[in-house]
Amino acid sequence: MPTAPTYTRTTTFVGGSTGSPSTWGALRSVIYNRTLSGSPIASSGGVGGHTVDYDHGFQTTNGNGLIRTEGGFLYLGTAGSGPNFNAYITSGINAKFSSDYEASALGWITNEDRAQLTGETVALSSGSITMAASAFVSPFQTFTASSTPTINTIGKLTAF
Amino acid sequence: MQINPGYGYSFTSSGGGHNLTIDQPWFPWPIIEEDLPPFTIVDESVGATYKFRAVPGMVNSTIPQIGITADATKRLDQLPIPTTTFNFDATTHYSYIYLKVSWLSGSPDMYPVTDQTDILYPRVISTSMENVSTDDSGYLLLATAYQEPTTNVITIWQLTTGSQWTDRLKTGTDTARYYFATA
Repeated sequence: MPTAPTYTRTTTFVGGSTGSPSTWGALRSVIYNRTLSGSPIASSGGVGGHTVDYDHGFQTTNGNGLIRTEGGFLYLGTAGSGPNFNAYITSGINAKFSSDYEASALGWITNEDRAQLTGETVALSSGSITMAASAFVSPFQTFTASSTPTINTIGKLTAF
Repeated sequence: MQINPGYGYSFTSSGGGHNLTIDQPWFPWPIIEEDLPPFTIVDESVGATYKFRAVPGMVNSTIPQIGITADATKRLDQLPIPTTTFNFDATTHYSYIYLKVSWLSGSPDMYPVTDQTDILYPRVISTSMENVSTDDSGYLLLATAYQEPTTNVITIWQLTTGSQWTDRLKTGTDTARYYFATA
């Protein structure tokens, strides 16, 4: 089970003070793909620069895959936990599919988005599963996998 | 009737009459730009020189320049009020007036660019065609202008006004997307 990174909210916004920005872009984020290595944020993405390049995550074919969240890079000021999906081996062939760092009623992915995502087909590097509501709540959704999986698609969301 | 002492004036009376003296005239009066919303486009054409200005506004707390050259004297709040030339399409006779906000790669990245000597500094520009945002620049269409080809009369359609707040988001290899919100 990965360890949650720490973050601080240091984003500067209108008026020069710090706090919670409320602009459209600041309150959106891609869903991170934690089955890929490295930071989802491009190394050139500047903190507080009102710009961010996502190196990997999930996006729709005709859109950008951004979801409404307070876990976005521009909101947090650093690449924090953020909305994400993960799949990993726990022991042997036992594996878990999870949206890490979520709580039952509050998290980076809103309840509305959770409801839409639940039931979607998750295509893994080997095989597929149907996302269950338990993916959002520890101890998360279980499945079996012969090797460490990566997530290719989740319904309309495609890994990039 | 009795007039009591007050701030900024004195009052004296004598057998010859009454004197009201203003101690410190409130002059010069501040010149206040007309009460138009930020980024309102105003026609400043003179004769056959077709140009315009933009009412000062901010994008991410930065006041843009006007025109296509990096020139601090062209910042919208400078005096004399800076203007730039309309750029009309020869066929459609339309001009598109944008707030252009650019991104500069670095460590960290900069968006918007805050160096006034940099051509990437935010600016209001007129182009003869519609612009599509790129990885480097986002365009917010402020107004369109049409010049009647026989009379040369210019009509301006103001599409949006107000200071702006903007973010730039890029996913993977897709072209960056720009989000503007009225501040």
